[in-house]
Amino acid sequence: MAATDLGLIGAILMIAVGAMTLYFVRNNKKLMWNQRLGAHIICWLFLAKGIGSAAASFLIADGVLFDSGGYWQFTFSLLWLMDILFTTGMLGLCLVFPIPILRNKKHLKIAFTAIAVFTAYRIILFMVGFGVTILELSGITYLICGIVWGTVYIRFRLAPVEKRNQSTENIALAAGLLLIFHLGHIWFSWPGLILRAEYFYNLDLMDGISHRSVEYFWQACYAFSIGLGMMLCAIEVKQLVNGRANQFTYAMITYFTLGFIGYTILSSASDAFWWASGEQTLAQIWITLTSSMHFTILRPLIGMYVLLRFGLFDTSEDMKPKAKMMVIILIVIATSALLELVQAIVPMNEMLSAALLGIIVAFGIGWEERSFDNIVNAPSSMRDGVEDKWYPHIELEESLFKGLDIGMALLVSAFLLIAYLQWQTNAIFELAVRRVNGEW
Amino acid sequence: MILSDETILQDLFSEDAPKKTIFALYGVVMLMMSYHALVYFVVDAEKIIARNDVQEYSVDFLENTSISSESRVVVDGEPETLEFTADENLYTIFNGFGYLEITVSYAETGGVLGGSCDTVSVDIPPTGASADWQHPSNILAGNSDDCSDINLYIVIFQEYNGESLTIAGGDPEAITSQWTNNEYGSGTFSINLNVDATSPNPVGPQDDDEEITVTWSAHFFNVVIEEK
Repeated sequence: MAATDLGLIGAILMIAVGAMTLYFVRNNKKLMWNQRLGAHIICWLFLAKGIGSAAASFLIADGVLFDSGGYWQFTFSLLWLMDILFTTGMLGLCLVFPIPILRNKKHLKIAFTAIAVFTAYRIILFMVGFGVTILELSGITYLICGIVWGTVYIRFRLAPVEKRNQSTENIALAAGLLLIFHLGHIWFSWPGLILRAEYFYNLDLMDGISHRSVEYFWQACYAFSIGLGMMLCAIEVKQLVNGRANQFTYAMITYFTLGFIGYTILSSASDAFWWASGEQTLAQIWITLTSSMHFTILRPLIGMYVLLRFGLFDTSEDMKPKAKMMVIILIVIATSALLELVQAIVPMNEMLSAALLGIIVAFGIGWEERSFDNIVNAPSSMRDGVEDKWYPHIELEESLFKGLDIGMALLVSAFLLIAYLQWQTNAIFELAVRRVNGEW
Repeated sequence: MILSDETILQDLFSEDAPKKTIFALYGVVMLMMSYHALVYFVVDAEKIIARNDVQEYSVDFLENTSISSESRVVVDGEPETLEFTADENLYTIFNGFGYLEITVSYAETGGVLGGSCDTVSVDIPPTGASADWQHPSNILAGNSDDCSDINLYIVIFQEYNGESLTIAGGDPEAITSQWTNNEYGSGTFSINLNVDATSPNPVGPQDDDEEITVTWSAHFFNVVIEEK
């Protein structure tokens, strides 16, 4: 399976997770305001990233030839616009979930107005020909989300013993999982940063179209994320020694170990950005199995886990069968994608792979039956035993959530239209020509 | 505990918070960003700047022409068709089939000495072979009534004109790949020949045909790329 196929499967997975979870989240009106807002944002993050990933797959499949009038301009534009939407969502999410950083309605209005203005600013820059420049501050979301979730994580994970309970553990775990969700792919390249490997410092964000200043800022944000990850990894190793390991501990150690192993494979490669994934060389296979896999399969699974584990779904008895069906669909897509990926690397007879797929899916569904109940029934509270100061009450009208969904749907439609217009007006080709000539 | 409505910072950095660890986190991330800036702007600056320089390449084409010709006597009012297929071996030797030149020649061979030239018209239907049939430089039809040659021209390889190019960016492999394709030119080209014979005198020997020679010149090329 080519990397573009994996990207497409990932896109389908994310769109499926986004659409289905939005259905369940909309029905869950019992949540605290911040959880409900966070859940809506997560759904739209998936939808935006899913559409963006599909565009990226088509862009890579087309070979990114940058020809005048080419269809690639539509996919390029859509990919970048969806990334802007994803960035917006991540910024909004870190302000309200797992604990609200915003303490009252005034804070909420100011923060979300600022995010909306920043989003509009980036869209306008892109439309007037200053896309993919330092003015867009691409990567800033890594800094903001990293600071917020990193601080929240340490604050609750290392809370004084007398104040620790299941809720503080859950808050820390949620913050940690969201950090993996957002920064996990970066942690694979930590030795590259420290050992000055080409594959890190050669990072080319948008294949020649991004200005050098963008590459620097993006890399600086990666350096920030790696520093954050190293610190959290050290904390988790200490927790493991102290017998306080959790899912986040093992995930962190796995990501950093894979990053270390990856250095031996990628040290001679010129690029390890996920664009470079494939199945031809060991380095390409490694990128496919790490960063690319993180984007396409692990992100949807982590997102779904957060939604289920912390009760953001409506998993009442009425809704449970539907929620289970959704989980089964996702597991079947994810397991078949994994098997296809293995088959691309280790070619095997089609009959054998069909049989294996059946067995893996059967196990997956069997596992789902048990694990679904385990996840849903696991203590999900983030409120019990936690001081009230962490959860200020803000009254949000029902119409706000409806408006959010409608607004996001309209924004996605507008992005499709903008991408189409940029293709028709040859705007991205002209941008590429300017970049090749060294201009902004 | 009273809700600290003013700012979250009071709660995050309250007395019972693990402040040392939180500030250690900020210290580590600052250290990493500084280290990155040092490598990017000082230690490996030259290497990184050189990577961003756009390399220019000159692209030249070394041409080789394969010529074949065929003659046919075409009777007035009875069009004939000749076909041409390029030698498959040429595709393995060269990067591509650039263009095809067709020369149609004839002389006045019938009738009486000093008789006027017949009118010969030819056309190449844009089917049967892979070529850049819509290229504006193509000449797919022509005629002659003074025994001069008719010259036709078909661009085979998309955008190929045989002139040297300068390309900024990319790498030699990618540029070579861009100019390598053995699909262009595959198939069979055909040319339709028509003769309108003219006899100088209605009485006596009549000129009702003409021998026409078609010469196919297939221009194949190899790409030579050099850094400028």
